[in-house]
Amino acid sequence: MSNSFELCVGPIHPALKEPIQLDFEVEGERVKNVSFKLGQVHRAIEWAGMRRNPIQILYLAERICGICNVCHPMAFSMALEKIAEIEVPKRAEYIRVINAELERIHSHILWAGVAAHELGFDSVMHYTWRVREKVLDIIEMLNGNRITKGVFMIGGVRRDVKKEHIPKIRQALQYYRDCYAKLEKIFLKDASIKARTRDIGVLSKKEALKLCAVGPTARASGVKKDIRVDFAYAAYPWLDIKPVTPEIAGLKARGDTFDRILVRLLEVKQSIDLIEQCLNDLPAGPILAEPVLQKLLVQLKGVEGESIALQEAPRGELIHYLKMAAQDSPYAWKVRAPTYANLPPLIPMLSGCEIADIPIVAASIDPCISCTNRVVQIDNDDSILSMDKLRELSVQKTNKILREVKK
Amino acid sequence: MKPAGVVNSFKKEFENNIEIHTSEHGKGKKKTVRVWITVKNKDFKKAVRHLFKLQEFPHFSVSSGTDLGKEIEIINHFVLNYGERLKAIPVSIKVKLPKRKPEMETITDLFPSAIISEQEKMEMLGITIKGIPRNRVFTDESMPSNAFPWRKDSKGVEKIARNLHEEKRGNKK
Repeated sequence: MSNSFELCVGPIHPALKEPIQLDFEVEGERVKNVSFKLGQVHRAIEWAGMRRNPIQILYLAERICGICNVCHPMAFSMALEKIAEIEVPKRAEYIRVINAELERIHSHILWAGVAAHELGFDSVMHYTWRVREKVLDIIEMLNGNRITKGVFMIGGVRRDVKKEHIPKIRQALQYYRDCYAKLEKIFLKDASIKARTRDIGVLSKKEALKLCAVGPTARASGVKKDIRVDFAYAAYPWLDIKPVTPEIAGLKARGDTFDRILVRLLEVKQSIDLIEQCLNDLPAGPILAEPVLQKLLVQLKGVEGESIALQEAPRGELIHYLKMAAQDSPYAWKVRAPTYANLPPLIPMLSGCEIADIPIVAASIDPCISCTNRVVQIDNDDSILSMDKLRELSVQKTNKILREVKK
Repeated sequence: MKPAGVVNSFKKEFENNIEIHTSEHGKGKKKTVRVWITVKNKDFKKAVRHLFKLQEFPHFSVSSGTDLGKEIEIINHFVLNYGERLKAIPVSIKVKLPKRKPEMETITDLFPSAIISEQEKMEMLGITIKGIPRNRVFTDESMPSNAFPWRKDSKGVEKIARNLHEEKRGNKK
């Protein structure tokens, strides 16, 4: 007789905030096998993109992911710029990097908060998210918005970094340098965090290579993949940058949850340095190859060809494939967000771990599940509830509780 | 290995049974080279295996797919030489499948992580990939089994998308 049980986590589960279903076979507290199902929130974004013009797609691409809303429009722009042979002005390339690295800082710190929450340290979660506010303020100052920024354009950027912005950005970078020691102490020195993450959720270097892991997940296992370094774009070819692995901190890569925390924290430091380099070297000049959008659209309507753009998003390699056929809309557009690549490595990470470790191990790849799903379904079926019906039911329940409390 | 080395290695192995070209962009440190290879369906797996002769662990990024009218084109995107400053080479291997029999082999024995990409191509384009199960991953069960979102012919979903208000999707059968 088998001693194993089936345990299902997700697609809606308090331990995972995004819609993925993880099916576990457990023996006691130990996970024996794991498989996953995704696709619960497919939004048909590529399909919709193939019915829009390239400028409209920029704003659609930005909405693939609330966190990586710099990377997607940038990757789409880069693919199209290659096909249309548009040369991006040098100043715009530096501004693209500044925006991308500000996004990495806010994404990694956001993740640190989620990791703390999954470990049960909600005070740390609140601290990290308070620290994150500073970078969001800078993003708002530069682009007029905290999250969806609308800063990208094919052939450059829409908003310049002004002279008066630079001291404020530098001040924010110093703020993060000052906070870094505290974050390091909390995440890397705390005995409880170490006990919950060291040698937990291990992804060996060989598995990371074989399963084509990307981003900090791969680098924590000692795989030096980083598109900013290997296949540099924007201003990265001119910047001093190395892939961040645990070796940088003098440690041997073990590929565990602790190493994935370490790599992301070191990458915050790296992003501060990269922004500083960009501010020092920021060249003067235009920020758009073609500032008149009507002219740009006419130019883009005539282009034919295909290209791929690779990008290092906060979660790893992001790829956009684009095919243009002298039409208003792309003939084909394929988006592959990094979490797509980091889901298969979850299987060896979770196999053999304890049930209590599932939330932190799953969170350690910094999953962005909605990125991997690209149909909102409106349904009259009684088993699927509309927003109004849900509201009605919640009001009924609240009234019922109130009546019971008054008794 | 430089991009020319990748091109020569494929040419030597496949002689006239391959179309190969590179696309170059930028100058100096900004120069990037992408390698594009088109192979016949029967040589597709051999071409993917050839990547392992160039690097122990080639990186599989994703596969994209396009309805070209009479054929469906599947492109598998790989990266070689990662981990070296400014030396990575994206290699895209294309195969064209006739619509009357759009079948190809799986590469999940070489790249286990390709399973999501391959299932997506089956679901979105209505092709068959031999060796993996045909599961619904991204589309809803109520989507007709002969409708494929990325097809540009009568098997596409334009009509369904236009008349969503007429669809009673999700009703229990």
